[in-house]
Amino acid sequence: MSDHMNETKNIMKKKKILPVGHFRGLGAWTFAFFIYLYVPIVVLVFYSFNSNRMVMNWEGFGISWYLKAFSNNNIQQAVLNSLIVATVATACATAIATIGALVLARGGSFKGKTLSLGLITLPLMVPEIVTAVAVLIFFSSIGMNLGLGNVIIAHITFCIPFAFMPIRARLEGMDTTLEQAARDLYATEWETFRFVTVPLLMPGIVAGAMLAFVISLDDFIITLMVGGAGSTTLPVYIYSMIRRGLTPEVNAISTVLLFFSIAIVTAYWIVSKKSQTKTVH
Amino acid sequence: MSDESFISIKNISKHFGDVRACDDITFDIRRGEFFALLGPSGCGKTTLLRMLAGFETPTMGEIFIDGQPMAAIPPYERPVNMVFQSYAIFPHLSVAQNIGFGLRKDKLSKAEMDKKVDEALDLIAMAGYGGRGADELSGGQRQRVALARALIKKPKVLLLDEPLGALDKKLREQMQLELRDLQREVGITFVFVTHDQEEALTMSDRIAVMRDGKALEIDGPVDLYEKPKTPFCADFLGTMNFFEGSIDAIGGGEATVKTTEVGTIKSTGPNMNFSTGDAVSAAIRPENMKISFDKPTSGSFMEGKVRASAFLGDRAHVYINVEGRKDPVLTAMQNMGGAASRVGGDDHTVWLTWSDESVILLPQE
Ligand SMILES: Nc1ncnc2c1ncn2[C@@H]1O[C@H](COP(=O)(O)OP(=O)(O)O)[C@@H](O)[C@H]1O
Ligand SMILES: [Mg+2]
Repeated sequence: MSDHMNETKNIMKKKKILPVGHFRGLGAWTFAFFIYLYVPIVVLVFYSFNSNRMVMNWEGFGISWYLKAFSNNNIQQAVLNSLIVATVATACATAIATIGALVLARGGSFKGKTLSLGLITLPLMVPEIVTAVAVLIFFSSIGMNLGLGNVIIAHITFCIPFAFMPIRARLEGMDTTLEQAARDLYATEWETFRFVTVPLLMPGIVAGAMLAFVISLDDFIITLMVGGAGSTTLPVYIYSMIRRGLTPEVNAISTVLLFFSIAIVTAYWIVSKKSQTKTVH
Repeated sequence: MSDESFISIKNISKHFGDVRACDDITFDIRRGEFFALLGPSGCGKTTLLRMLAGFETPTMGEIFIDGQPMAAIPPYERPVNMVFQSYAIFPHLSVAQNIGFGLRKDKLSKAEMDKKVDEALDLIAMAGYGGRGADELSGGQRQRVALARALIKKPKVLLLDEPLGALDKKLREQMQLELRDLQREVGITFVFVTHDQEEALTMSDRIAVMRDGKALEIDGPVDLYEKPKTPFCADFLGTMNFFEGSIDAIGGGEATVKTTEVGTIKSTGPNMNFSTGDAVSAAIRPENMKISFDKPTSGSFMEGKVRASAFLGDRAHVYINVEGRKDPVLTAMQNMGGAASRVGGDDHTVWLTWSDESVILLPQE
């Protein structure tokens, strides 16, 4: 995904672009845009440190709601569920995506190659609610009820395309003569894969995994539909908390989730950026 | 197996769909020689090299290395190593790990491995660079690391695909000599691909000139240059003035060619296997045509007018218009004692002289 963004950036750099910076009032618009984008989040984070039990009545700075949230058994259970689901789904989705990317990039040309590529990335465009309903109907029609297992399977499904994209981008940009050089230096196909292909692909795999992890961690709709009692994840639990009334506890736990996601996305960004400078020679 | 046919390429063809990248190529490479595959881009050099390495399977024909048929042998079991056009240095490994990559299988102790890598680093004059990352190397250093990595297993044959192509001119000239010395030092057979005729002439013991998937001529650099057998080869290696015509008389090591543009030209040079009436070109190298300011009294000559000259420092190229001929005749002269400045301005009348020995008879295309 960031590969894509960088590509457009490069294209824009090369072309002589309209110097929009000279238009009057543009700075103000940009400022308004960022306010629009971030004020709700800033407010959310701000009130998580409120010591009053009413969200909107500022009383004073305190971290009591964080302590409360952390000691809430239901939240602990939801966090645990979220981590289990995200970890297992990420591992499976990344493995499947890696194999898929290898087949598509290195399997030579085979019938239905373009179609397969389309089919792998299509779920990115399918409305989430459609996927959710489809998966729900599927599980109930085959009578599958594994609790958290159902959630994990559903998460693997929609995480695959997210994990797939950076891996494929990395693979496409990889110099195949490196693998030939390894074979020339007496490495068998397996050794070539193990000692050359995988290490070179690693930044793509890590980036794909991190993306899949964040997507899984933040998912709400599909999890809400598929997960039964006892398989509540953090986003679903936060939603149920809100229905019982807004307390700064919701703000606190949302803020924790926010910064956790930001941390992973930042790490993803650093990894993919690093891998890009490495491929240039 | 005899040293003469250390590598034996027998009727090799390689087709990619309709493209005949290699088309029925047959020749032998001697043990320990520096052999160049020379030809314009797209003539099939890389494809032939890759078949030697085992990365392409021939559509037809057979390859033997040291008497052993290669057909069933995968790249990682062939006694050859390759230096890739892009060097293919592993970016995730250090210089030492790159060079030691081929030793992985040898079950050496750490100390033995280090010793071999250090020796290889010495060989390429890069001692102390082992710990560097691949991305900290200059173009010339990458090239050397690729060489060391390919040589460390002491292959029977080293294949090099345009190894100097990515380097700038000065460095390239220096590396030409170094590569030549290195080959002498290690005594391994080098098969080397280039599209640069000067590079091939400088470095090789023998050259195969290729065109359109065919090996046209195989010979040493001097013989290829002085006694080419095809107009393509004559033109590709250096430059050549062609005078087209037909054989008027031939025999006793002597021939006269009736040219269509400049009268008759006599030859006592190579390639006398034509008969009267054959369409041929009388070909003369620019450096064999001398400019005379007075009309010669004997020997072969033709009259012309200076059209333009290009001063190249140590020598000059002078283009002479000859009556009846469309293209100017090119001569090359050494600029000894400022000789080039005496050629005079345009339209100056001069005479071109040459020795009949230097006239090469070639079939017409
Ligand atoms: N893998 C391939 N698939 C299709 N055509 C190829 C392939 N490799 C080479 N060719 C074609 O074969 C011809 C010879 O290529 P190559 O051996 O690379 O030439 P050179 O190295 O002399 O420049 C070219 O026309 C090229 O396009
Ligand atoms: Mg080539």
